[in-house]
Amino acid sequence: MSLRTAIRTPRPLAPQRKRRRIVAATGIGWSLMVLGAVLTSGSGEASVLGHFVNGFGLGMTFAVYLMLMMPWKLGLPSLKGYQADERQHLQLLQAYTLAYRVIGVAVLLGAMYLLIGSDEGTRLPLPHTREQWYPVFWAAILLVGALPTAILAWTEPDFDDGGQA
Amino acid sequence: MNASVPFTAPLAPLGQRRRVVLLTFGGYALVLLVLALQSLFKLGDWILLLPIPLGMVATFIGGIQLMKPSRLGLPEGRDRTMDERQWQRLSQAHTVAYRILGMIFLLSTGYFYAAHGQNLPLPTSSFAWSTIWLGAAIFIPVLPTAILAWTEPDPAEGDA
Repeated sequence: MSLRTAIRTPRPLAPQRKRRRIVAATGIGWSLMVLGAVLTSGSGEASVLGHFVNGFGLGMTFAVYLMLMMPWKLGLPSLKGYQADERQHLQLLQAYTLAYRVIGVAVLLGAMYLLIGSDEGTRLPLPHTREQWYPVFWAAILLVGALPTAILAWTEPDFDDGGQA
Repeated sequence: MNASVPFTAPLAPLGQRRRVVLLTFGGYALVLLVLALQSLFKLGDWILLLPIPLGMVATFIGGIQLMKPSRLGLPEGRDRTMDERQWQRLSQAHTVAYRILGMIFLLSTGYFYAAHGQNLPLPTSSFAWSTIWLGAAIFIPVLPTAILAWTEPDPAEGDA
């Protein structure tokens, strides 16, 4: 089964270009948050810059994140919300399957980073204080909450002209 | 999730499948518990001697069976011969697994956040991190199969 098949929802599906802009903006904001979190574990000017980058990324992410938390506003289905038919339900399940693989790889890579970084011989930046863990915590919440919808928003094609409701 | 799905190989009995799941995750839980106790009470490395190898061996034995689902009569993820219902069951298992893993991910990150400044146990040594990582490397790939193995009912007598 492919995600390239258009699905119908009671609210008109937002254009793919708009949906992808929202996902891209969220992804860039999220990446800035993570980069800021890494920089804040440094010292001196890098730490100050890290707080700035992290705050900017957090603000940017929140500005568009709510759109992904309310998929029906983009005309997309959700597990607890509207699902027109079985095919639409399968599309959503497929997005969750891909999201599981992405999160699984992210967790393993993150744990490996902590494993390598905990070796005193390496100089990898690691969060040590409560303040340094705070942005990591937020990044995890935002990633887990929005990833399946972001995948669906990115991959769902526009309706064909002839198929528009 | 209660509808029985026809699989190509005979489905292992529910009791056997659940034992495999308990072996895998029980072993990993034992490892995490011992590491937490050692960190919390500042115990010596002697406490790790028996439970850590025991837990990891249990996780490996169970994990190997779950990594090859067809041995238990469950569908393989990349099997193109799966019918739509099998595919749907597998996807449902992934959805549940996503929620579980997402919750664990959030709780563990929240725990690390809360633990700093509090007297909560944290892994500090490379050995502790290696053990946690190795367990996670088994836990994450097999979680959807474990959910399917746990929830898939035995076929009705007429279907066997």
